[in-house]
Amino acid sequence: MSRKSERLVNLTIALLATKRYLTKSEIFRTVDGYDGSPEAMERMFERDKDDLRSLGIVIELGTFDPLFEDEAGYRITPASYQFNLGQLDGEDIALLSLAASAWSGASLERESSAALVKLESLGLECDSDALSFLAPQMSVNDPNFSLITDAIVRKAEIEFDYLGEDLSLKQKKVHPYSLKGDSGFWYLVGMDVAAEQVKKFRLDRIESEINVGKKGDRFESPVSHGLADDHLQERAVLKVRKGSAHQLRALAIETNPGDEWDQIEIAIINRSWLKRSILWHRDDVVAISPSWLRLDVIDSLKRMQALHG
Amino acid sequence: MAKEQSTPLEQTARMLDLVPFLLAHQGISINDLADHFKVDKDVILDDLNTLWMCGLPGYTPLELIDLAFDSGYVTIRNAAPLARVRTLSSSEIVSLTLGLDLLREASAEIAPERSQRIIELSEKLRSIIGADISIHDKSQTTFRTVIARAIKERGSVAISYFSPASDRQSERTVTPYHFLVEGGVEYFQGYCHTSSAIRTFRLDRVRAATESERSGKLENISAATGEKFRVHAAIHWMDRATLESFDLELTDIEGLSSITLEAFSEQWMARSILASGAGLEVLEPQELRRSIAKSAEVTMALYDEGAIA
Repeated sequence: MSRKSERLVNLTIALLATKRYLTKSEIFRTVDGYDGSPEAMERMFERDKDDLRSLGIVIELGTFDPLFEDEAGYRITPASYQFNLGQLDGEDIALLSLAASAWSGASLERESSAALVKLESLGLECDSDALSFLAPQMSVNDPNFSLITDAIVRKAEIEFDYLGEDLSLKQKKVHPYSLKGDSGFWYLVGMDVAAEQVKKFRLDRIESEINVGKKGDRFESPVSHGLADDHLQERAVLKVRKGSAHQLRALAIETNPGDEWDQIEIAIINRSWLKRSILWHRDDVVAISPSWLRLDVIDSLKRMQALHG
Repeated sequence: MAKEQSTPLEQTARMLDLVPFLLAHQGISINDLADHFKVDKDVILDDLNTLWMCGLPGYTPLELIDLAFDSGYVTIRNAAPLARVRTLSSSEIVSLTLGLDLLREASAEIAPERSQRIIELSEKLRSIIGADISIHDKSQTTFRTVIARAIKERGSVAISYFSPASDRQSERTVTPYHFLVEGGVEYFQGYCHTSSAIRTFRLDRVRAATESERSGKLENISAATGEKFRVHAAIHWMDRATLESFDLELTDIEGLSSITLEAFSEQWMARSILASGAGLEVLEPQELRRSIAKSAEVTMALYDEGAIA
């Protein structure tokens, strides 16, 4: 049995039930669990306030009568404490419950279970018709997942080791802006503090546990954030054999059809990916320009032939 | 269920949420209660014992929360100040919005009449946290990760698979081997237990995928069908793209000068090695060595002056 959690619950009850602000001395006198020297109680109370705030409970500070210089007091207003998503019906509850259950066995299972408990406490009849139609399953298991989502919401700086293209581990300090799931991977977009550039990081390439900055330290997020390499991209010109290389064709900004070969132009977002992709398609794709790309591909082919000849 | 000590803060959150939950579920068994809160029965008993000591200042029987749970079934009275369901925390909201993203994608095909409702709920929740966390395409993100995990852990998946040729959806149990991209479309290959044969599936035609109980007897199957293709390759250098294409971890190659790679398609293996751009050299089998040298030569010839009109 924990004295501390008992005291926190008692404090919550007292602050919720009161119509007026309770002063510190009233709290120390009446709420069970506060004892020791005045300084000790003071410290205890400061920590308790922080703890309740970290649970998302808003503690208001104010005075009973603004005309008198009263001692400031505390209270929790029911409006800020209580679940409020506006009018919900059975279908909403069913859909939200399905959404929560998608995390079974995955990264945010704990958070979604807590949400589910709250939904089930509302005493609303769940529309079981809506419940039966599908059951999606989230399967991200990354232990960093909840740390990142939390850091995005709190605007807290994060630090981690990132696997570079050359397999070196690079220490990154990032202001996380967004997290997106796409094509089987999760991408974090944020400001790389050292490089002063907005970059994209793939979650499974983060090789360390994420270190989240101190509470209260919030970074300023820009009004809009484009990825640094969104603009002024160099373009590659490729010849692709008719009826092949659909993956590269799908990226084409321009296509000039020919007889046996079509010519396409694509934006170069990732050089090494592009080179790999050209090599992967063997004699179905030929790099025309820029010259560094063409020479790079020729060089790889030469070395590959030399190695295996 | 995991037996872990919860922190005083976690216990506080749980106790605050227990009260409204119990008010909506009078007479619930302690076992069910532990299930809902995803903790051990002992933990819930400790919560109830602690909660039983909480109440309004004064702490006479009149002010204390009145709980009865001796019989193994829980009833609650006199809990007015904590009767309200607490507001959702930001991480709980994140879990719900991501779950709704999955539902929205899934419902688009199965229950389009629910889509609007899902979007409204999602917008309502997102406006509360104001963070940019979302999933773009469900089928790829969720099903691909389920399948990827099965490949890694040599497990099986139960899939609903849509075949346009026969215009039918079938339920199958598959032990997946690897992903492959052909013509811009992602596939996965595996042993289909339902048809007792190795089959290739298009990822975007998978309508549902969950882990299956059936253990993937990968070795036996491949021995029986002789489908698995093994290559011994020298590592001259390795970059991240090559590492990821063979689904290796950093630790898999640490200190190694050569490695055995496995795949279920010889063509996929040949292309992936060529794409490594001379980072990998095939040592065995000899036929693959020759075929890679040949591909490199044929492709290189296309870079000669005037080879392509």
